[in-house]
Amino acid sequence: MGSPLDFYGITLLVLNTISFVLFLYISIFFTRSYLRAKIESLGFFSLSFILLTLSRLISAVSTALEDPKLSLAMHTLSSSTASAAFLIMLFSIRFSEREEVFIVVPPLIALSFPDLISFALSFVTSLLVKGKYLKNYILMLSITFLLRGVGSLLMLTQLGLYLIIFSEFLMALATLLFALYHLKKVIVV
Amino acid sequence: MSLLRNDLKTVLLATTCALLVVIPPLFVYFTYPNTGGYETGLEEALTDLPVKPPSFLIGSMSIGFHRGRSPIVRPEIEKVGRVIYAYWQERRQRVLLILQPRYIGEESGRIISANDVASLIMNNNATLVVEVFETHRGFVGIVIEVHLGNQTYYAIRG
Repeated sequence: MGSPLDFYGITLLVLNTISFVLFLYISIFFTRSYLRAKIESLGFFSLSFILLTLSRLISAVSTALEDPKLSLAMHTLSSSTASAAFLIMLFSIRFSEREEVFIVVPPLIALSFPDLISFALSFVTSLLVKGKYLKNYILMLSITFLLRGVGSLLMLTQLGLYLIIFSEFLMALATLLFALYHLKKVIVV
Repeated sequence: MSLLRNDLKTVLLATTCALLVVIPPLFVYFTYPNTGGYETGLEEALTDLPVKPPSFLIGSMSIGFHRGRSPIVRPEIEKVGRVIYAYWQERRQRVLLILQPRYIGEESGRIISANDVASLIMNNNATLVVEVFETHRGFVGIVIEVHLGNQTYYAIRG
């Protein structure tokens, strides 16, 4: 048995769990709206939030797991799920606005750099999305993915380790704010 | 319009998302080095961090910087204060040795503590088998086997 989670681990777990619950609520709201209205862009938006919900759940599980192999696989899965969510969100924005031809991101790139893929997708999403707060939150998330990706590359330095630890906390915090923002919108609607 | 209409764009999006989600974690899981789970001992070498290193961080170090399993013989081992170092011939580097909390004797079944193992290593002609990892603090070896003549002690994880 490994030692129990410290304050940092518990904070990550709590933030991720709260984000999971909020995203779940938002996903249910969007899914119900899509089922009523059958608007395609709403469906894609709903799908991206379902994936973000899963991403937070997986991230919480990865924090709680003691086995490094499984924890790392879950950690990567949380990034790759989030990158798929942002890909769908990006697709939804482009699709609903201009009906442009969709360009597929080569999936092989994701083999080595899921965090950097998540960064690229969320960064482009943040540039295209409308709404000041949403734009800022997605930008903050994209920065955390960049820090995580760069941190992994610099792991042989203390800076790399600090980057990963800090980015994980920032990501959990940003996701919570992101979820709270959308919850507010959903409740207002 | 239905979300599930079967046009090329939707199929491409679904395929890309599925690959994006599935490939990276599977790649990580199946290329993870066979460390026997002893990498958790790296926690002891990462005491300079402000927080307890999360499991995924230990996992990241293992997949990125596991340098294999190596034997180390007694003349190459030295004790500096409470810390044991060894000279690793293969890379001509100094390795910080991390002991597991408990070890079990192969023949006797006797369980001994890390302190007992440290004494045995320093006072006998021991040969160690270590899992070596490269970290920002240099090379770290997790001692998984201690051979003392015809007696062998194996690390009990965690």
